[in-house]
Amino acid sequence: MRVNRRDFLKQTLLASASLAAPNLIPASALGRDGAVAPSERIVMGGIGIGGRGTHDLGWMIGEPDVQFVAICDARKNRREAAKNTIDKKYGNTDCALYCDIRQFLAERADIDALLIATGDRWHALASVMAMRAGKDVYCEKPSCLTIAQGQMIVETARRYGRVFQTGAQRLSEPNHVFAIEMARTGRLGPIHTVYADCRYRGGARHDWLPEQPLPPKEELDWDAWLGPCPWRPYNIGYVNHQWYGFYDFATDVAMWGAHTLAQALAGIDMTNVSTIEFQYAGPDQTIVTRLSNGVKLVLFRVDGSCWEPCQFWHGACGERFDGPEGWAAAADGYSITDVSSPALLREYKKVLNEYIGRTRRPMNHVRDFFDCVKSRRPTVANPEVMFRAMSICLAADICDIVKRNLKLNLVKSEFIGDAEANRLRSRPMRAPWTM
Amino acid sequence: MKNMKWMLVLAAAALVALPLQAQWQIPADPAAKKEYVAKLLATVQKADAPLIERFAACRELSAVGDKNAVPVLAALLTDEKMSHMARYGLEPIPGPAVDAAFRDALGKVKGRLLAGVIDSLGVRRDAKAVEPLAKLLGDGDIMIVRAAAASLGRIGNLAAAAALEKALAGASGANLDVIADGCIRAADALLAARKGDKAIALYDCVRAGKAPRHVRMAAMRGAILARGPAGVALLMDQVKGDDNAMFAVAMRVAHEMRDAKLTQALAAEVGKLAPEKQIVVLQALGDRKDTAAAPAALAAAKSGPSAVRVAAIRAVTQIGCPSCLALLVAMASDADAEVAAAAQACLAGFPSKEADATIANLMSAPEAKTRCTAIDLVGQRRVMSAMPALMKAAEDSEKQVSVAAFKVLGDMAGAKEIPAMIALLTKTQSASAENALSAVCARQAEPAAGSVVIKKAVYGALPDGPSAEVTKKAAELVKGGVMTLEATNGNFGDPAPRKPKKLSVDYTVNGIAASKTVAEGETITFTAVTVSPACVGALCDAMGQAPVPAKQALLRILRSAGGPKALAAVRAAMSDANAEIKDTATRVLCDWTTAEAADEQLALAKTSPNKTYKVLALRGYIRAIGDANLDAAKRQAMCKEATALIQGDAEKRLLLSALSNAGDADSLAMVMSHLDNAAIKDESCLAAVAISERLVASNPAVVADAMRKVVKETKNDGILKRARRVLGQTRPKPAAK
Repeated sequence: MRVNRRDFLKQTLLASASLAAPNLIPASALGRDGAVAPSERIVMGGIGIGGRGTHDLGWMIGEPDVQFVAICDARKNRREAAKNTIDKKYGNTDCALYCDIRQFLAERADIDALLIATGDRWHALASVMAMRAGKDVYCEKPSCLTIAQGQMIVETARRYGRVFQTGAQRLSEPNHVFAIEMARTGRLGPIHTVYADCRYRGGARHDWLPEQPLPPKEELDWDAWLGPCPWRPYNIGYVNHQWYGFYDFATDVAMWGAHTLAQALAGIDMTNVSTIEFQYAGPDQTIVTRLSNGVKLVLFRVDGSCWEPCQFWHGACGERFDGPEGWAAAADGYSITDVSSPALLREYKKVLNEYIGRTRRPMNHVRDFFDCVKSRRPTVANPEVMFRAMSICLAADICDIVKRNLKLNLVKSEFIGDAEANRLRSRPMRAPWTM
Repeated sequence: MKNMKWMLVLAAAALVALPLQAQWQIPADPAAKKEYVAKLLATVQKADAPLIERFAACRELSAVGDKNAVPVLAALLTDEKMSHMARYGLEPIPGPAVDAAFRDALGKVKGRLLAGVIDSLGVRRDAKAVEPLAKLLGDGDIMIVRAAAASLGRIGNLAAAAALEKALAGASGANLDVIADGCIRAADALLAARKGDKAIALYDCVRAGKAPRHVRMAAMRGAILARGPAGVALLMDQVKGDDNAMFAVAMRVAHEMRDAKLTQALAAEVGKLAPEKQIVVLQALGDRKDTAAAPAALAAAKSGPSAVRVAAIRAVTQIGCPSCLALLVAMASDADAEVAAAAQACLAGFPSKEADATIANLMSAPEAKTRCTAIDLVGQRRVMSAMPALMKAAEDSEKQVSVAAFKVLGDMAGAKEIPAMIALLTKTQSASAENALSAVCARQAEPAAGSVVIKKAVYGALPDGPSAEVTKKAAELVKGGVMTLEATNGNFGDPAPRKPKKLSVDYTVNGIAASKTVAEGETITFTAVTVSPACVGALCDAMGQAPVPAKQALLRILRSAGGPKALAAVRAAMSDANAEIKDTATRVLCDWTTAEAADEQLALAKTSPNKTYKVLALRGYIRAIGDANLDAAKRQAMCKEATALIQGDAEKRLLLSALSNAGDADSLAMVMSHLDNAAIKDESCLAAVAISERLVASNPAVVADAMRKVVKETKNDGILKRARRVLGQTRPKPAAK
């Protein structure tokens, strides 16, 4: 049975009445009006729902106040797979499908928020277009390919008053939050060194795969798939995951740094940090940086994948905070945060309680997004948090390109005294795409 | 089948890439760089060069292109194939010549190429482009209008704003949306340029017009913020009004605007709003963390719909005013379960020292339920100053209070409290007291590097290849607090390049000798447990005077404390005249958690006339096989002994668990020998997978072999999934997200 929004509201009203609870639904809630009241269902759409997007979709669709109604994707098989998931969930065939993002945004004024899980090349553009169309956005990481794109996300979210969450979900996981809070609250003493896992050996390819015949546009719209990126001849390899390794479509340090830098920076007092210096140590080597508050921030890169144990943690996407009183580290697969002394763990519950009391965050990344859609407060991984982490990742990529030490002004997002590096902060978009 | 073949051909073709395209080879030397740029420009101009090379040159010119690059790239703006990459190279080059080149191209290109050129002019914020761009706002192609409006908005000077405002008046349909967006961008730029009045006028123009609602919402936000403190009134109009969308804007701005007057205004209004709005306003007040809002939040917390009260309680907590604590405490036992749960959660995380004292005082409340809640909160907040009150509560006449107090004591008490807790155990003789004291004593025995002594460490292609003695380095690491020694070149250098290496360490833990050998990449963890002499001493001293049930409890607690002295006390009690104490001591020995008692456990398992002791001792012995301090030879010998005595599958499962805990390559081999036993196949597979997950980095070949067998044997989906994942990790990894 299809439960539309109006039915849902009626049911809620009835339920409220039967429980003798007050009617919390104002009459205006019956019109979308660009806002979602606390008692209302959030109407969602998805853009680019592939591997990670399917995971996110499954996570979001389980929230009781969320209803997905439409999917937009340049790939037919992806569109239909997402539709199947959605229709199965609701027991109907109502999920609408779109190929063109412009048509999708123009026609679906009923949609409150979007899940954007395209390839990285589309993240920033789709997010900005969606927010300009009055949608709130949950966008997978890394949410931008360039510093300029990141700035545009920050500006657009502010300008349109939209709620934006980047998919740095570990900011909502207890083990990471505990490590971050141990650092932030001074329990480890003044933090002097922070490590962030940036191991990714994909590099940045500039070659083209051999040209293959274009598939029918209905199956795959290659021009739409490329979006704002430089044109190149079609090859199915790009579409099937190989895009990760190409400079035009992806980033390097931000592959994991989009997560781990966000985690690392969350534990540092960044209030008066104005600059960060990058020490170039050679291709794909660990980049040691120094923040203007004296904290050493290590972008850890060695041979081996992010999944392999290393001296700082034993799982993927780790971060570690070192202070004079001890250290705390977290990574995927931990049953509990790793600490220098078991005594530090005795306050585990207390630290998390204090965090929840102070922030009102639900320790569930998508739930935080949905709560914020209703309350209009910034998310835990809001545009500023995203941009702060991404600008450091992208500056590290630029450091790899120019092969020299760099100093970035974090306030102005400008490299100090390096014109070439500054010119690499943006990549002109292929028309007609513009932000 | 045909399709499959076609897919395979495609997949193979995809893997065979063209030769790698060199990129970012920028020389540091200025002369070489000049030459390099000249080469790039030559490539770009070579019409018959492969497109990929010309694109690559444009990409590189984006970083190093100079004035010589401008005419070359500008000439390509009209080239259908090269236009985007020409922009790519040209757009970041500084200087007015680039602006002029883009302006010049406006009249030479159409469609997508024109949209691209317009975009570049906007990115460069070229003030001289305002006039031609303004004309394009009247273009018939929405793509051109969108690009022109966006670029004019980015340029954002007075002329651009005027052009956009003028166009807005006559715009309709899709054009209205994009031109209104341009207006908002321009207004933002004016505000940033300290032209606040002009910005306000433009925001007001858009919000009063017919633009789509979401654009008018953006205009409203700008209009409020641009007015500064005077914007509070406009914001409050939206709070009081009946337009849901504009209420949402007001709430968004309430998170951006720090003016104290806004807090006061919201606090004054919140009680008059509909419940639905109250929730959102209370959330905003909580986020503002301004104590001026506390009275209003408190008032909202006292009565009304549950959802509003819960929002108010959370806001009060975020604000963190100590004067609100009394009410929170009262609401912790509210009749409304949602409210009570919210209040309790908030009290657990309430950010102030005063909260500690307030909650501790609650432990003497007349109602047992309140006392229990307070005890739980004391535990969650770890109020160490409440320890005496907890001790008192442990003797509470209400059993639920006593149980709650012991639970928290077990979690919070330290060495200092052990004598008092022994006294409580002796007095109450309760299971709660025993559990609490046991937890405290177990915690006193913590891993400590100080009790590990490295006797000899060798790293290299052991046993016969080149190696180096690394005793000093290993000792330094352990002395520095490292409890897990990693066998890596990073730690010990590379005495045998390109050969598989091992690390062999002879060491003592608390004076007990042990040795271990691990492969390169694996780790040796020293579970050096420093047993607190004060703790064990206090337990042993108390044994003399304690009544029988308490003495039995103390014996069981000695097992948690561990260490030679505790074991000696247990051994002595095995000869006690009292049969109950003797029985307890024997059972405790059977259950001893480290290998120190292994020999006695084995003897009991072999020769005890008591069948129960035989079973318990064998199980204890098997568990001791998992002791991380055992060397491989000893473990193998114990496995052999255990295997000879094991009769049932329950013990076999226990053995698998112990081997899984041990987790080295020898243990994996022993586990694999049980794979054929149908009764314990799942457990064998699970143990093999668990060990392999830890060994895969250092022993991929051994692990791969084991996992292939597991994949073949297991019928359990979960195990199969894990085994395949580990198997995957034994292969070289492709780049992946």
